[in-house]
Amino acid sequence: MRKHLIALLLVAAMLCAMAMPALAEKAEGWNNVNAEGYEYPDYSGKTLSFMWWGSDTRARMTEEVIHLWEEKTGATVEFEWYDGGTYWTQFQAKMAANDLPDVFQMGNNWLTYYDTIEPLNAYIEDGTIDTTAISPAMLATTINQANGDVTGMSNGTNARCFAYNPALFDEAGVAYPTENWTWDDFAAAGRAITEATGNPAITTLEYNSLAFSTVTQWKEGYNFYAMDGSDFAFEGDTEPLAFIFDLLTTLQKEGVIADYGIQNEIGTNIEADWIAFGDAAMIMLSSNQFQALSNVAAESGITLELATIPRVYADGQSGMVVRSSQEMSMWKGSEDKEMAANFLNFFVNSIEANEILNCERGVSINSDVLADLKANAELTNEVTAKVYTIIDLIGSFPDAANSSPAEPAANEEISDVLKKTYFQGLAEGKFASAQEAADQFWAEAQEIWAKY
Amino acid sequence: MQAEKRSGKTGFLYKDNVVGYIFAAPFIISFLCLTLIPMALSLYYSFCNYKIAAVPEWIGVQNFANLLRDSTFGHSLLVTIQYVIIGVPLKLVFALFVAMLLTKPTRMQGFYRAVYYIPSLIGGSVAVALVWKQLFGSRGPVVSLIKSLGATGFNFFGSTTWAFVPLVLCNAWQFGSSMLIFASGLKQISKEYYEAAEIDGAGAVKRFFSITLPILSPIILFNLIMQLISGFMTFTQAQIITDGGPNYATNYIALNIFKEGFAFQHMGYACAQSWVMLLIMAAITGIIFKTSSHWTFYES
Repeated sequence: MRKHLIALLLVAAMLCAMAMPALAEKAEGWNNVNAEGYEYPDYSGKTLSFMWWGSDTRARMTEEVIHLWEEKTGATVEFEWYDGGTYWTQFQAKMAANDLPDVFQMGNNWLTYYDTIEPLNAYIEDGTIDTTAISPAMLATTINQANGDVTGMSNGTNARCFAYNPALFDEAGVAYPTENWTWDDFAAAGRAITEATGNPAITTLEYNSLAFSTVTQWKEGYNFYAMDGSDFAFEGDTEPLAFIFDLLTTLQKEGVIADYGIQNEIGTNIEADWIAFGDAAMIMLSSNQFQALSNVAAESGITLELATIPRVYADGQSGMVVRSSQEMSMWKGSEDKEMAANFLNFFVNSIEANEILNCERGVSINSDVLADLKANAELTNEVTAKVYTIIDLIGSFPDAANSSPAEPAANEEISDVLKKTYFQGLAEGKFASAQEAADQFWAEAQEIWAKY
Repeated sequence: MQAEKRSGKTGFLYKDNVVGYIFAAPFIISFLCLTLIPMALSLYYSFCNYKIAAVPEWIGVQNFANLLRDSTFGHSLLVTIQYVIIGVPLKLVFALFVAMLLTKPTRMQGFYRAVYYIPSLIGGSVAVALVWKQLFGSRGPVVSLIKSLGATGFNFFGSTTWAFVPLVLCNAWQFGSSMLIFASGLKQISKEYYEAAEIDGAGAVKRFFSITLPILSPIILFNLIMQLISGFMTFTQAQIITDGGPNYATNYIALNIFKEGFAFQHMGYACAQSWVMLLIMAAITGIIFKTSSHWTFYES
């Protein structure tokens, strides 16, 4: 009898303890890690797994933040990281084995991996992930417009743009890119630099996104994919595609753009790009990669600058967009989602952590963090200031909001054939003209879409 | 009493069959889990519209019908066959050549064999692929040498014509296992044949074609088949070094299957490709076996 009583009392005590947090009305921002006297949850003996992609620079910073969190919470973080290409191979293998890490980095291709992602809505609503310093517009960069699911916490915003080496522009006697420079300016500068240096002036280009942004640049209202990623917005005017096919292929044949072998060698390893060693003058990149690239370039005494993507018409659309560079997502199968949510909260919101990360993944979406970083002269150096400037500039273009946060699931395959069958096929002379390649691409893109 | 009890409970362990099964268990279990069950599943998936972690949907032979119209797959087949036809004989000739060099008894023979075997030990590893990527890369020593001979702008991996060459060479470089098998075969050839031939006035070339090759032919058959199969399955180098490019020039079947299944999430379609590849490999192996009676020679 006494045993029963004790057992009952224990159960009652447990239930009370469980109900307590629910009963106590939580104040907004209760889990604000930056608040004075904030007490970190105790995760001693627990293990969180975490995986990301990126450069060596990113790995160093991220590990430091991981150790900081381990110190504060007593948890152990098992982490792994890869370069951007290998990451997805690993991700897919782990996905097939149903053994993903609790927290993983995710790109705007999240629609492709939607089944693996735990929506964060519940954790944001109950405040475990504190969004008091994050604007709704910033939060929206990772929301599935179709159903309102929050697919992850954005690690910051970025924009695709160009990095260039002004010293090589000077050497060739050409003007620096302006904020509305055109493809003609781009071609002229490239040709002059290649003539002066004997090397390809441009080593890295993201062919698919250039093709898509040329569509946007062509005419107001044009876009390749619909805003919510549910369909094409493109209606079959293939002229802009033919234009960019022709331009880039011609420049490559002239040796102004590096051949596909060189581009593939550099791959996603931005720190190995020729521009960092003074051999190339321009590359296309995501603005958040600029830090890692500049670090390597600085070792060779090279200072790089950022520029916008060239336009079709100087007074036309920019075709550029400020987007979530990447997000931190939670695995649906995670065994301790509360801990994972707290880690996300720390990673995105902690000023202390972000002073280490320093917007290398993208310009922070947390206004407190960003204000702190900008006010810190040691952290906001010349390099990061350039990133802030270009993001502000691109954000000010009227058409910059004109793009979907989601890459449709078919995008991976469409982009792959766009590059390998059409861009590379045109270079190999497999199409009579750029226009023919563009028309066939559009036909195949629709076929691919139908498969998903 | 205690001893009796033990033997009563554990007595079955002493039966011959049980012992056999227990020792074979690690293999049987891994064969079932890692080979047979996955193969059966992949056969099933090849008739389904299947995405990893989703429910497979039966679509009959639709995947196989689509394969017939898939020009990328057709092209993959073509470049894979090209790779095998050029790569396998090259590797075998090289392995036989080195094996013959190493049959001359010297004190260093064991050392040399070990050294030549090392590349095969590190096999299809990523590290080797990365080294070859550097070696034949646009700024690697090989391209620099070619450029110094006057071919400006030359780059193996940027050319659909030349991109496969470093991959074939990398494969041939890993000739160790074939070499060892050849070496042991060469050792089996009785010296008397050579002595008799020499007395009859046969030169080295004649001896090689009339004695060595015929007697070695069963071993050549074995090596040929093993290398053909591994040739068809080539993956790592193409994935790491060229990513199948440029313009699908090195998009070998295994790589194509991987892309379809994992990157594009068409696992069912990828399984169908795997089965077609298996059938093709089986057919080629079968033809070689069938015709082998005409060109292999068994001493007894």
